[in-house]
Amino acid sequence: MMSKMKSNDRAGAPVAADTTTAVQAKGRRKKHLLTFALTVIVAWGLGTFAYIYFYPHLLYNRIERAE
Amino acid sequence: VRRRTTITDVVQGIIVGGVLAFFTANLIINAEIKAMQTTVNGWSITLKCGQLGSGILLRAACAKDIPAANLPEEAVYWTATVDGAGHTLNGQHDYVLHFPPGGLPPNDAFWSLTMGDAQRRMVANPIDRYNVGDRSGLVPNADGSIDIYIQNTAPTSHESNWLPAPTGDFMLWLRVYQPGAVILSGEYHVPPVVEGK
Repeated sequence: MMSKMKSNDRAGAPVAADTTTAVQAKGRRKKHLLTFALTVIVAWGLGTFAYIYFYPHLLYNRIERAE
Repeated sequence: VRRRTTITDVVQGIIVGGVLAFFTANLIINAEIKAMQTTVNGWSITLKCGQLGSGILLRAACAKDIPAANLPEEAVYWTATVDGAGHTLNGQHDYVLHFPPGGLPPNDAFWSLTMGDAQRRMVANPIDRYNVGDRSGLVPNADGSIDIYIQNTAPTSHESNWLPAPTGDFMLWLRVYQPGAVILSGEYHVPPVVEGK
């Protein structure tokens, strides 16, 4: 009986380790995706505002340099 | 394989967000240009540019549409890319802009009708004429009306009233300096550009 249990424990150990690694990897992917998505949203919003705000300055600077 | 880090997430996010911002901002500015214009007879005009205190979106739209625009009291600008029937102006067709007697744009300075190609550039032509106006010797008709011939080849016996057009799509600017009160009030409308027969 004892030897049977030991045998089962040994067999189960790699499976548990694999599952833990997979869960950790999934968590890391989720974290990376969240960081990326949040950065996109912030850059999109701020970038849109900044482009509209600075558009006249950029345009007139370009015209002045061209003259 | 490179490992993803927070730095790479942020850098890639900024790049993607920046590209999206560029296109979004241009869409918004173009929408504002359309919204601020009034179009009658194919001629679009705005009287909102050049004034201090305008919102940032209006300032951007004015800068893109009419760079360095004057106050409306100093100058107004009409643009046309379509004829009176709504068809795109193209040098394959001949057009006439007919001002009825007393129907020229009222002003205290001068007016000018300028030709531009689809990229808003001046159009090379055999008589080096890039615009016509109240100082270019336009010949009126017997009833006092004025016809301006807008076409690629010279109109027979009307060359003095000819504004040369390119062979492809083109646009027209009508500028009026120190415009009259009826222009500033929005009562004056430029006649449509009509395709000749």
